[in-house]
Amino acid sequence: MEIIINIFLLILSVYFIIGLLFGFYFLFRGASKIDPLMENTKTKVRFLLFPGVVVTWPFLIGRLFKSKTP
Amino acid sequence: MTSGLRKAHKFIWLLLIITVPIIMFFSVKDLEFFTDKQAKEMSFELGDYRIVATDENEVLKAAILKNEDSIKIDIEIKTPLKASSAEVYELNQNKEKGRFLGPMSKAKTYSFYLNNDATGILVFDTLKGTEITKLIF
Amino acid sequence: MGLDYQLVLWNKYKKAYDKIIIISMLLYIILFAAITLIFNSETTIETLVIRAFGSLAIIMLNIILIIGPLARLNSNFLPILYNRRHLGVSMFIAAFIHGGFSIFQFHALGDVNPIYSIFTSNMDYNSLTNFPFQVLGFIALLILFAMASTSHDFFLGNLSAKVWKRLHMMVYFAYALIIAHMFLGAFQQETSPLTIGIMTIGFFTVASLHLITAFKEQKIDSMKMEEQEGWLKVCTISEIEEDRAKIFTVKNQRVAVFKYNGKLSAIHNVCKHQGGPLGEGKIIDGCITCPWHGYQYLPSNGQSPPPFTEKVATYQLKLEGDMIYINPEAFDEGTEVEPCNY
Repeated sequence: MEIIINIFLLILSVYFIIGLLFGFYFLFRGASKIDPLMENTKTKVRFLLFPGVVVTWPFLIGRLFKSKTP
Repeated sequence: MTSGLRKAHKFIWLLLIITVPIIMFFSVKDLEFFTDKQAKEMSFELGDYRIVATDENEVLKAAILKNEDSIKIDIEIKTPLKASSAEVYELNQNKEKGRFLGPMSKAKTYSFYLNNDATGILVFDTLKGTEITKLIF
Repeated sequence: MGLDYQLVLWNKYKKAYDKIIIISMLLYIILFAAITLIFNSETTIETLVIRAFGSLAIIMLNIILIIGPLARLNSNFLPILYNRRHLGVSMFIAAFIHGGFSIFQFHALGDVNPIYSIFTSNMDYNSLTNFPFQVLGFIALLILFAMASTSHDFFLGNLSAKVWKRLHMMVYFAYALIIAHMFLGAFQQETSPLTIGIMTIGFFTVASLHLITAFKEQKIDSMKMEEQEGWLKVCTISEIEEDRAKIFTVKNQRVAVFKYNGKLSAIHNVCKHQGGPLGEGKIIDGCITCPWHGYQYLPSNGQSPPPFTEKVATYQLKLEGDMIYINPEAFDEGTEVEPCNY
Protein backbone atom coordinates (compact mmCIF):
# COMPACT_ATOMS: atom_id res chain seq x y z
CA MET A 1 0.00 0.00 0.00
CA GLU A 2 2.81 2.42 0.86
CA ILE A 3 4.32 1.90 -2.58
CA ILE A 4 1.03 2.80 -4.25
CA ILE A 5 0.72 5.92 -2.09
CA ASN A 6 4.29 6.95 -2.88
CA ILE A 7 3.80 6.50 -6.61
CA PHE A 8 0.48 8.35 -6.53
CA LEU A 9 1.91 11.31 -4.62
CA LEU A 10 5.00 11.39 -6.82
CA ILE A 11 2.89 11.54 -9.98
CA LEU A 12 0.70 14.20 -8.37
CA SER A 13 3.64 16.41 -7.43
CA VAL A 14 5.39 16.01 -10.79
CA TYR A 15 2.11 16.89 -12.50
CA PHE A 16 1.73 20.08 -10.49
CA ILE A 17 5.39 21.11 -10.84
CA ILE A 18 5.20 20.80 -14.63
CA GLY A 19 1.90 22.65 -14.46
CA LEU A 20 3.45 25.51 -12.49
CA LEU A 21 6.33 25.89 -14.93
CA PHE A 22 4.07 25.63 -17.95
CA GLY A 23 1.57 28.03 -16.37
CA PHE A 24 3.93 31.00 -16.42
CA TYR A 25 5.03 30.39 -19.99
CA PHE A 26 1.50 29.78 -21.21
CA LEU A 27 -0.26 32.74 -19.65
CA PHE A 28 2.34 35.31 -20.65
CA ARG A 29 3.41 33.86 -24.02
CA GLY A 30 1.62 30.77 -25.31
CA ALA A 31 -2.01 31.61 -24.62
CA SER A 32 -2.31 34.37 -27.20
CA LYS A 33 -1.18 31.91 -29.89
CA ILE A 34 -4.27 29.76 -29.45
CA ASP A 35 -6.71 32.40 -28.24
CA PRO A 36 -6.66 35.87 -29.86
CA LEU A 37 -8.70 37.25 -26.96
CA MET A 38 -5.72 36.73 -24.65
CA GLU A 39 -3.61 39.40 -26.38
CA ASN A 40 -5.36 42.30 -24.69
CA THR A 41 -6.16 40.50 -21.46
CA LYS A 42 -4.98 42.21 -18.29
CA THR A 43 -2.38 40.75 -15.95
CA LYS A 44 -4.79 40.26 -13.03
CA VAL A 45 -7.03 38.14 -15.24
CA ARG A 46 -3.99 36.08 -16.24
CA PHE A 47 -3.32 35.38 -12.57
CA LEU A 48 -6.93 34.35 -12.09
CA LEU A 49 -6.51 31.84 -14.92
CA PHE A 50 -3.21 30.56 -13.53
CA PRO A 51 -4.49 27.77 -11.22
CA GLY A 52 -6.68 26.40 -13.97
CA VAL A 53 -3.73 26.25 -16.37
CA VAL A 54 -1.70 24.40 -13.74
CA VAL A 55 -4.49 21.81 -13.53
CA THR A 56 -5.23 21.39 -17.24
CA TRP A 57 -1.77 21.79 -18.78
CA PRO A 58 -1.77 18.51 -20.74
CA PHE A 59 -4.80 19.65 -22.75
CA LEU A 60 -3.43 23.14 -23.32
CA ILE A 61 -0.02 21.83 -24.43
CA GLY A 62 -1.84 19.68 -26.97
CA ARG A 63 -3.67 22.73 -28.33
CA LEU A 64 -0.44 24.70 -28.46
CA PHE A 65 1.33 22.05 -30.56
CA LYS A 66 -1.64 21.74 -32.89
CA SER A 67 -1.63 25.48 -33.51
CA LYS A 68 2.09 25.44 -34.41
CA THR A 69 1.87 22.62 -36.93
CA PRO A 70 -1.43 23.08 -38.70
CA MET B 1 -26.79 19.10 -23.37
CA THR B 2 -26.41 16.60 -26.17
CA SER B 3 -28.12 13.21 -26.11
CA GLY B 4 -24.78 11.55 -25.29
CA LEU B 5 -24.33 13.73 -22.24
CA ARG B 6 -27.87 13.03 -21.12
CA LYS B 7 -27.19 9.31 -21.33
CA ALA B 8 -23.96 9.71 -19.37
CA HIS B 9 -25.80 11.64 -16.68
CA LYS B 10 -28.46 8.97 -16.37
CA PHE B 11 -25.86 6.22 -16.15
CA ILE B 12 -23.85 8.07 -13.49
CA TRP B 13 -26.88 8.70 -11.30
CA LEU B 14 -28.13 5.14 -11.59
CA LEU B 15 -24.67 4.03 -10.47
CA LEU B 16 -24.61 6.51 -7.58
CA ILE B 17 -28.06 5.64 -6.28
CA ILE B 18 -26.96 2.00 -6.04
CA THR B 19 -23.44 2.38 -4.64
CA VAL B 20 -23.74 5.34 -2.28
CA PRO B 21 -26.54 3.87 -0.10
CA ILE B 22 -24.46 0.68 0.26
CA ILE B 23 -21.53 2.70 1.62
CA MET B 24 -23.92 4.67 3.82
CA PHE B 25 -25.51 1.52 5.23
CA PHE B 26 -22.32 -0.37 6.05
CA SER B 27 -20.65 2.64 7.60
CA VAL B 28 -23.44 3.33 10.08
CA LYS B 29 -24.51 -0.29 10.65
CA ASP B 30 -22.21 -0.85 13.64
CA LEU B 31 -22.46 2.59 15.16
CA GLU B 32 -23.71 2.68 18.69
CA PHE B 33 -25.88 5.71 18.92
CA PHE B 34 -25.75 7.63 22.22
CA THR B 35 -23.66 5.19 24.33
CA ASP B 36 -20.35 6.15 22.76
CA LYS B 37 -20.69 9.80 23.67
CA GLN B 38 -21.48 9.16 27.32
CA ALA B 39 -18.42 7.00 27.73
CA LYS B 40 -16.24 9.73 26.29
CA GLU B 41 -17.54 12.37 28.62
CA MET B 42 -17.11 10.15 31.67
CA SER B 43 -13.48 9.46 31.01
CA PHE B 44 -12.54 13.06 31.55
CA GLU B 45 -13.86 13.19 35.08
CA LEU B 46 -12.03 11.77 38.04
CA GLY B 47 -15.33 10.61 39.57
CA ASP B 48 -14.82 7.60 41.83
CA TYR B 49 -11.42 6.85 40.34
CA ARG B 50 -8.37 7.08 42.51
CA ILE B 51 -4.84 7.50 41.31
CA VAL B 52 -2.84 4.35 41.99
CA ALA B 53 0.43 5.19 40.27
CA THR B 54 2.11 7.90 38.29
CA ASP B 55 5.16 7.81 36.08
CA GLU B 56 6.98 10.20 33.86
CA ASN B 57 9.68 10.35 31.19
CA GLU B 58 10.92 13.03 28.78
CA VAL B 59 7.98 12.65 26.43
CA LEU B 60 5.00 11.99 28.63
CA LYS B 61 3.48 11.90 32.06
CA ALA B 62 1.08 9.10 32.93
CA ALA B 63 -1.30 8.39 35.77
CA ILE B 64 -3.05 5.07 36.37
CA LEU B 65 -6.54 5.47 37.78
CA LYS B 66 -8.63 2.73 39.29
CA ASN B 67 -12.17 2.28 40.50
CA GLU B 68 -14.08 -0.84 41.48
CA ASP B 69 -14.42 -2.34 38.06
CA SER B 70 -12.01 -0.66 35.66
CA ILE B 71 -8.54 0.71 35.22
CA LYS B 72 -7.71 3.62 33.02
CA ILE B 73 -4.68 5.64 32.14
CA ASP B 74 -4.34 9.37 31.61
CA ILE B 75 -1.39 10.24 29.42
CA GLU B 76 -0.20 13.79 29.16
CA ILE B 77 1.99 14.52 26.14
CA LYS B 78 4.42 17.27 27.10
CA THR B 79 5.41 18.54 23.67
CA PRO B 80 3.80 17.80 20.29
CA LEU B 81 5.11 14.51 18.98
CA LYS B 82 7.25 14.85 15.89
CA ALA B 83 5.80 11.74 14.33
CA SER B 84 2.48 12.48 12.67
CA SER B 85 1.20 8.96 13.16
CA ALA B 86 1.88 8.06 16.76
CA GLU B 87 -0.30 5.41 18.34
CA VAL B 88 -0.52 4.13 21.88
CA TYR B 89 -0.55 0.41 22.66
CA GLU B 90 -0.93 -1.49 25.87
CA LEU B 91 1.91 -3.75 26.98
CA ASN B 92 0.66 -7.24 27.77
CA GLN B 93 1.81 -9.60 30.51
CA ASN B 94 5.01 -10.40 28.62
CA LYS B 95 5.71 -6.66 28.27
CA GLU B 96 5.11 -6.90 24.51
CA LYS B 97 3.06 -4.66 22.25
CA GLY B 98 -0.55 -5.61 22.91
CA ARG B 99 -3.94 -4.06 22.39
CA PHE B 100 -4.24 -0.80 20.38
CA LEU B 101 -5.51 2.07 22.56
CA GLY B 102 -5.66 5.05 20.23
CA PRO B 103 -3.82 7.66 18.17
CA MET B 104 -2.07 10.69 19.64
CA SER B 105 -0.36 13.75 18.24
CA LYS B 106 -1.04 17.03 19.99
CA ALA B 107 0.30 18.05 23.36
CA LYS B 108 -2.69 17.35 25.57
CA THR B 109 -4.01 14.74 27.99
CA TYR B 110 -5.34 11.49 26.53
CA SER B 111 -7.43 8.99 28.43
CA PHE B 112 -7.75 5.25 27.73
CA TYR B 113 -9.21 2.22 29.50
CA LEU B 114 -6.76 -0.56 30.24
CA ASN B 115 -7.06 -4.32 30.61
CA ASN B 116 -6.54 -5.58 34.15
CA ASP B 117 -3.35 -7.38 33.20
CA ALA B 118 -1.68 -4.48 31.39
CA THR B 119 1.95 -3.96 32.39
CA GLY B 120 2.69 -0.69 30.66
CA ILE B 121 2.17 1.41 27.59
CA LEU B 122 4.05 1.89 24.38
CA VAL B 123 3.93 4.91 22.07
CA PHE B 124 4.68 3.69 18.59
CA ASP B 125 5.43 5.52 15.34
CA THR B 126 3.49 3.45 12.80
CA LEU B 127 5.01 5.31 9.89
CA LYS B 128 8.60 4.45 10.67
CA GLY B 129 7.77 1.31 12.63
CA THR B 130 9.78 2.49 15.64
CA GLU B 131 9.11 2.96 19.35
CA ILE B 132 8.84 6.55 20.47
CA THR B 133 8.66 5.83 24.15
CA LYS B 134 7.69 3.08 26.55
CA LEU B 135 6.50 3.16 30.14
CA ILE B 136 6.44 0.09 32.36
CA PHE B 137 4.46 0.34 35.55
CA MET C 1 -17.96 39.00 -24.40
CA GLY C 2 -15.55 41.80 -25.20
CA LEU C 3 -12.24 41.64 -27.03
CA ASP C 4 -10.36 40.52 -23.95
CA TYR C 5 -11.17 38.36 -20.95
CA GLN C 6 -12.56 40.01 -17.84
CA LEU C 7 -12.03 38.90 -14.25
CA VAL C 8 -15.70 38.10 -13.77
CA LEU C 9 -18.57 38.84 -16.14
CA TRP C 10 -20.71 40.64 -13.64
CA ASN C 11 -24.03 42.26 -14.33
CA LYS C 12 -26.71 43.71 -12.06
CA TYR C 13 -28.39 40.34 -11.46
CA LYS C 14 -25.20 38.40 -10.94
CA LYS C 15 -24.04 40.96 -8.39
CA ALA C 16 -27.33 40.62 -6.54
CA TYR C 17 -27.03 36.81 -6.55
CA ASP C 18 -23.44 36.97 -5.39
CA LYS C 19 -24.44 39.19 -2.50
CA ILE C 20 -27.10 36.68 -1.49
CA ILE C 21 -24.52 33.87 -1.66
CA ILE C 22 -21.97 35.70 0.50
CA ILE C 23 -24.50 36.88 3.08
CA SER C 24 -26.04 33.42 3.40
CA MET C 25 -22.62 31.82 3.82
CA LEU C 26 -21.65 34.32 6.53
CA LEU C 27 -24.97 33.89 8.31
CA TYR C 28 -24.56 30.13 8.33
CA ILE C 29 -21.04 30.31 9.76
CA ILE C 30 -22.11 32.76 12.48
CA LEU C 31 -25.16 30.68 13.36
CA PHE C 32 -23.12 27.48 13.43
CA ALA C 33 -20.52 29.08 15.70
CA ALA C 34 -23.17 30.48 18.03
CA ILE C 35 -25.01 27.18 18.39
CA THR C 36 -21.79 25.24 18.91
CA LEU C 37 -20.54 27.63 21.56
CA ILE C 38 -23.85 27.55 23.42
CA PHE C 39 -24.22 23.76 23.48
CA ASN C 40 -20.61 22.65 23.42
CA SER C 41 -18.52 25.46 24.82
CA GLU C 42 -15.35 23.35 25.07
CA THR C 43 -14.96 23.16 21.30
CA THR C 44 -11.67 24.65 20.12
CA ILE C 45 -11.70 27.33 17.46
CA GLU C 46 -9.94 25.06 14.93
CA THR C 47 -12.51 22.32 15.36
CA LEU C 48 -15.27 24.89 15.04
CA VAL C 49 -13.87 26.23 11.77
CA ILE C 50 -13.37 22.72 10.38
CA ARG C 51 -16.92 21.68 11.18
CA ALA C 52 -18.61 24.93 10.17
CA PHE C 53 -16.96 25.15 6.74
CA GLY C 54 -17.18 21.42 6.10
CA SER C 55 -20.91 21.35 6.72
CA LEU C 56 -21.38 24.59 4.77
CA ALA C 57 -19.59 23.12 1.75
CA ILE C 58 -21.69 19.95 1.72
CA ILE C 59 -24.95 21.89 2.03
CA MET C 60 -23.87 24.12 -0.86
CA LEU C 61 -22.87 21.13 -2.97
CA ASN C 62 -26.29 19.57 -2.47
CA ILE C 63 -27.94 22.83 -3.54
CA ILE C 64 -25.66 23.12 -6.59
CA LEU C 65 -26.48 19.59 -7.66
CA ILE C 66 -30.25 20.06 -7.59
CA ILE C 67 -30.20 23.30 -9.61
CA GLY C 68 -29.62 21.46 -12.90
CA PRO C 69 -32.60 19.06 -12.71
CA LEU C 70 -34.85 21.70 -11.11
CA ALA C 71 -34.20 24.07 -14.00
CA ARG C 72 -35.07 21.29 -16.46
CA LEU C 73 -38.29 20.50 -14.62
CA ASN C 74 -39.36 24.11 -14.01
CA SER C 75 -38.05 27.12 -15.91
CA ASN C 76 -38.53 29.36 -12.86
CA PHE C 77 -35.24 27.98 -11.58
CA LEU C 78 -33.30 29.08 -14.66
CA PRO C 79 -32.01 32.35 -13.13
CA ILE C 80 -30.26 30.30 -10.42
CA LEU C 81 -28.68 28.14 -13.09
CA TYR C 82 -26.94 31.20 -14.58
CA ASN C 83 -25.32 31.79 -11.21
CA ARG C 84 -24.38 28.21 -10.52
CA ARG C 85 -20.75 28.85 -11.41
CA HIS C 86 -20.30 31.49 -8.72
CA LEU C 87 -22.03 29.23 -6.24
CA GLY C 88 -19.62 26.45 -7.23
CA VAL C 89 -16.54 28.58 -6.72
CA SER C 90 -17.86 29.77 -3.34
CA MET C 91 -18.48 26.16 -2.36
CA PHE C 92 -14.89 25.29 -3.28
CA ILE C 93 -13.63 28.13 -1.08
CA ALA C 94 -15.65 26.77 1.87
CA ALA C 95 -14.35 23.25 1.22
CA PHE C 96 -10.81 24.57 0.90
CA ILE C 97 -10.99 26.31 4.29
CA HIS C 98 -12.30 23.06 5.80
CA GLY C 99 -9.52 21.03 4.18
CA GLY C 100 -6.80 23.56 4.92
CA PHE C 101 -7.62 23.75 8.62
CA SER C 102 -7.94 19.97 8.87
CA ILE C 103 -4.55 19.38 7.27
CA PHE C 104 -3.03 21.98 9.54
CA GLN C 105 -4.61 20.64 12.71
CA PHE C 106 -4.11 16.94 12.12
CA HIS C 107 -1.06 16.69 9.91
CA ALA C 108 1.14 19.79 10.06
CA LEU C 109 2.61 19.20 13.53
CA GLY C 110 4.76 16.21 12.71
CA ASP C 111 7.98 16.22 10.72
CA VAL C 112 6.37 14.32 7.86
CA ASN C 113 5.07 16.21 4.83
CA PRO C 114 1.42 16.96 5.72
CA ILE C 115 0.07 15.65 2.41
CA TYR C 116 2.06 12.43 2.83
CA SER C 117 0.72 12.24 6.36
CA ILE C 118 -2.90 12.37 5.15
CA PHE C 119 -2.30 9.19 3.22
CA THR C 120 -0.15 7.31 5.72
CA SER C 121 -1.18 8.31 9.25
CA ASN C 122 -3.91 5.71 9.08
CA MET C 123 -3.07 2.66 6.98
CA ASP C 124 -6.35 0.81 7.54
CA TYR C 125 -7.14 0.74 3.83
CA ASN C 126 -8.69 -2.71 4.16
CA SER C 127 -11.21 -1.69 6.77
CA LEU C 128 -14.44 0.15 6.03
CA THR C 129 -15.29 2.01 9.22
CA ASN C 130 -11.63 2.70 10.02
CA PHE C 131 -10.84 3.64 6.43
CA PRO C 132 -8.61 6.73 6.16
CA PHE C 133 -11.50 9.00 5.33
CA GLN C 134 -9.31 12.08 5.02
CA VAL C 135 -7.88 10.61 1.82
CA LEU C 136 -11.38 10.65 0.34
CA GLY C 137 -11.86 14.28 1.31
CA PHE C 138 -8.46 15.19 -0.11
CA ILE C 139 -9.17 13.63 -3.50
CA ALA C 140 -12.61 15.27 -3.61
CA LEU C 141 -10.97 18.61 -2.83
CA LEU C 142 -8.53 18.10 -5.72
CA ILE C 143 -11.46 17.54 -8.08
CA LEU C 144 -13.30 20.59 -6.77
CA PHE C 145 -10.09 22.60 -7.22
CA ALA C 146 -9.78 21.49 -10.83
CA MET C 147 -13.37 22.53 -11.43
CA ALA C 148 -13.26 25.86 -9.62
CA SER C 149 -9.99 26.88 -11.24
CA THR C 150 -11.35 26.19 -14.72
CA SER C 151 -14.63 28.02 -14.17
CA HIS C 152 -13.62 30.94 -16.37
CA ASP C 153 -14.94 31.06 -19.94
CA PHE C 154 -11.33 31.03 -21.14
CA PHE C 155 -11.15 27.33 -20.27
CA LEU C 156 -14.50 26.52 -21.81
CA GLY C 157 -13.19 27.88 -25.10
CA ASN C 158 -9.65 26.55 -24.94
CA LEU C 159 -10.21 23.10 -23.47
CA SER C 160 -13.12 22.51 -25.90
CA ALA C 161 -16.66 22.17 -24.57
CA LYS C 162 -16.33 18.38 -24.50
CA VAL C 163 -13.25 18.21 -22.27
CA TRP C 164 -14.61 21.00 -20.07
CA LYS C 165 -17.94 19.29 -19.56
CA ARG C 166 -16.23 15.96 -18.78
CA LEU C 167 -13.99 17.64 -16.24
CA HIS C 168 -16.97 19.28 -14.61
CA MET C 169 -19.01 16.09 -14.60
CA MET C 170 -16.38 14.71 -12.22
CA VAL C 171 -18.36 16.57 -9.55
CA TYR C 172 -20.54 13.46 -9.29
CA PHE C 173 -17.53 11.36 -8.36
CA ALA C 174 -16.45 14.04 -5.90
CA TYR C 175 -19.97 14.03 -4.43
CA ALA C 176 -19.79 10.29 -3.78
CA LEU C 177 -16.32 10.70 -2.24
CA ILE C 178 -17.56 13.48 0.03
CA ILE C 179 -20.52 11.42 1.24
CA ALA C 180 -18.15 8.56 2.05
CA HIS C 181 -15.77 11.04 3.69
CA MET C 182 -18.55 12.17 6.01
CA PHE C 183 -19.98 8.76 6.77
CA LEU C 184 -16.57 7.25 7.51
CA GLY C 185 -15.22 10.33 9.24
CA ALA C 186 -17.39 12.80 11.09
CA PHE C 187 -20.31 10.40 11.49
CA GLN C 188 -18.10 7.75 13.13
CA GLN C 189 -17.05 10.17 15.86
CA GLU C 190 -20.22 12.21 16.29
CA THR C 191 -22.92 9.63 15.97
CA SER C 192 -25.90 11.92 15.72
CA PRO C 193 -28.95 10.41 14.02
CA LEU C 194 -30.04 13.93 13.06
CA THR C 195 -27.04 14.81 10.87
CA ILE C 196 -26.87 11.33 9.39
CA GLY C 197 -30.59 11.54 8.63
CA ILE C 198 -30.36 14.96 6.99
CA MET C 199 -27.44 13.84 4.82
CA THR C 200 -29.22 10.65 3.76
CA ILE C 201 -32.38 12.54 2.82
CA GLY C 202 -30.24 15.10 0.99
CA PHE C 203 -28.57 12.44 -1.12
CA PHE C 204 -31.82 10.72 -2.06
CA THR C 205 -33.42 14.05 -2.98
CA VAL C 206 -30.53 14.95 -5.28
CA ALA C 207 -30.30 11.51 -6.85
CA SER C 208 -34.04 11.09 -7.44
CA LEU C 209 -34.39 14.57 -8.97
CA HIS C 210 -31.61 13.71 -11.41
CA LEU C 211 -33.17 10.39 -12.28
CA ILE C 212 -36.68 11.83 -12.71
CA THR C 213 -35.25 14.40 -15.11
CA ALA C 214 -33.20 11.78 -16.91
CA PHE C 215 -36.21 9.55 -17.59
CA LYS C 216 -38.33 12.51 -18.66
CA GLU C 217 -35.66 13.63 -21.11
CA GLN C 218 -35.24 10.09 -22.40
CA LYS C 219 -38.90 10.11 -23.40
CA ILE C 220 -38.33 13.18 -25.57
CA ASP C 221 -35.21 11.64 -27.09
CA SER C 222 -36.98 8.44 -28.04
CA MET C 223 -39.97 10.24 -29.59
CA LYS C 224 -40.78 8.91 -33.08
CA MET C 225 -42.04 11.06 -35.92
CA GLU C 226 -44.05 10.11 -38.99
CA GLU C 227 -42.00 9.91 -42.18
CA GLN C 228 -43.12 10.95 -45.65
CA GLU C 229 -40.74 10.61 -48.62
CA GLY C 230 -37.68 11.41 -46.49
CA TRP C 231 -39.34 14.31 -44.67
CA LEU C 232 -40.48 14.04 -41.07
CA LYS C 233 -43.81 15.40 -39.91
CA VAL C 234 -43.21 18.00 -37.20
CA CYS C 235 -46.41 19.75 -36.09
CA THR C 236 -48.86 22.40 -37.24
CA ILE C 237 -47.91 26.10 -37.29
CA SER C 238 -50.40 26.95 -34.58
CA GLU C 239 -48.72 24.56 -32.12
CA ILE C 240 -45.68 26.84 -31.91
CA GLU C 241 -45.92 30.14 -30.04
CA GLU C 242 -44.73 33.34 -31.70
CA ASP C 243 -40.97 34.02 -31.11
CA ARG C 244 -40.66 30.62 -29.47
CA ALA C 245 -39.74 27.11 -30.55
CA LYS C 246 -40.80 23.53 -30.20
CA ILE C 247 -38.12 20.87 -29.75
CA PHE C 248 -38.10 17.61 -31.72
CA THR C 249 -35.70 14.71 -31.94
CA VAL C 250 -34.44 14.02 -35.43
CA LYS C 251 -31.85 11.25 -35.96
CA ASN C 252 -31.00 11.29 -32.25
CA GLN C 253 -30.35 15.02 -32.37
CA ARG C 254 -32.63 17.61 -30.85
CA VAL C 255 -33.81 20.29 -33.21
CA ALA C 256 -35.60 23.54 -32.32
CA VAL C 257 -38.23 24.79 -34.78
CA PHE C 258 -38.73 28.54 -34.31
CA LYS C 259 -41.69 30.69 -35.39
CA TYR C 260 -41.14 34.44 -35.83
CA ASN C 261 -42.37 37.28 -38.08
CA GLY C 262 -44.39 34.94 -40.27
CA LYS C 263 -41.34 32.72 -40.82
CA LEU C 264 -40.17 29.30 -39.65
CA SER C 265 -36.56 28.16 -39.13
CA ALA C 266 -34.96 25.08 -37.60
CA ILE C 267 -31.57 24.83 -35.90
CA HIS C 268 -29.72 22.32 -33.76
CA ASN C 269 -30.94 22.67 -30.16
CA VAL C 270 -27.53 22.69 -28.44
CA CYS C 271 -25.84 26.03 -27.71
CA LYS C 272 -22.10 26.09 -28.53
CA HIS C 273 -21.28 27.83 -25.28
CA GLN C 274 -22.26 25.32 -22.63
CA GLY C 275 -24.79 23.14 -24.35
CA GLY C 276 -27.86 25.13 -23.27
CA PRO C 277 -31.24 24.22 -24.84
CA LEU C 278 -31.70 26.89 -27.54
CA GLY C 279 -35.28 25.77 -28.20
CA GLU C 280 -36.25 26.84 -24.70
CA GLY C 281 -35.06 30.37 -25.40
CA LYS C 282 -36.89 33.25 -27.07
CA ILE C 283 -36.20 35.27 -30.18
CA ILE C 284 -34.90 38.61 -28.93
CA ASP C 285 -33.98 41.40 -31.41
CA GLY C 286 -34.27 38.91 -34.25
CA CYS C 287 -31.84 36.45 -32.65
CA ILE C 288 -32.42 33.11 -30.98
CA THR C 289 -31.20 33.72 -27.43
CA CYS C 290 -29.94 30.83 -25.32
CA PRO C 291 -31.84 30.65 -22.02
CA TRP C 292 -28.70 29.70 -20.10
CA HIS C 293 -26.19 32.46 -20.76
CA GLY C 294 -27.73 34.62 -23.47
CA TYR C 295 -25.59 33.52 -26.44
CA GLN C 296 -27.34 34.55 -29.66
CA TYR C 297 -27.79 32.96 -33.09
CA LEU C 298 -29.52 34.12 -36.27
CA PRO C 299 -32.42 31.76 -37.03
CA SER C 300 -31.78 31.65 -40.77
CA ASN C 301 -28.13 30.48 -40.64
CA GLY C 302 -27.38 29.43 -37.05
CA GLN C 303 -24.51 31.91 -36.81
CA SER C 304 -23.83 34.27 -33.93
CA PRO C 305 -23.97 37.88 -35.14
CA PRO C 306 -20.48 39.45 -35.61
CA PRO C 307 -18.05 39.85 -33.87
CA PHE C 308 -18.96 36.45 -32.42
CA THR C 309 -18.08 33.29 -34.26
CA GLU C 310 -20.27 30.53 -32.78
CA LYS C 311 -22.17 28.43 -35.32
CA VAL C 312 -24.76 25.68 -34.99
CA ALA C 313 -26.19 23.27 -37.57
CA THR C 314 -29.31 24.27 -39.52
CA TYR C 315 -32.16 22.21 -40.98
CA GLN C 316 -34.49 22.60 -43.92
CA LEU C 317 -38.24 22.90 -43.38
CA LYS C 318 -41.19 22.73 -45.76
CA LEU C 319 -44.86 23.53 -45.38
CA GLU C 320 -47.80 21.54 -46.70
CA GLY C 321 -50.89 23.51 -45.84
CA ASP C 322 -50.68 24.00 -42.11
CA MET C 323 -48.30 21.10 -41.45
CA ILE C 324 -44.54 21.61 -40.98
CA TYR C 325 -42.09 18.99 -42.30
CA ILE C 326 -38.38 18.75 -41.63
CA ASN C 327 -35.51 17.24 -43.59
CA PRO C 328 -33.69 15.03 -41.04
CA GLU C 329 -30.30 15.63 -42.70
CA ALA C 330 -28.55 18.50 -40.92
CA PHE C 331 -26.65 21.10 -42.93
CA ASP C 332 -23.13 22.08 -41.93
CA GLU C 333 -22.89 24.47 -39.02
CA GLY C 334 -23.74 28.01 -40.05
CA THR C 335 -25.31 27.11 -43.44
CA GLU C 336 -27.79 29.71 -44.69
CA VAL C 337 -31.29 28.23 -45.13
CA GLU C 338 -34.18 30.18 -46.62
CA PRO C 339 -36.83 30.37 -43.85
CA CYS C 340 -40.31 29.00 -44.60
CA ASN C 341 -42.83 31.80 -45.04
CA TYR C 342 -46.43 31.24 -44.07
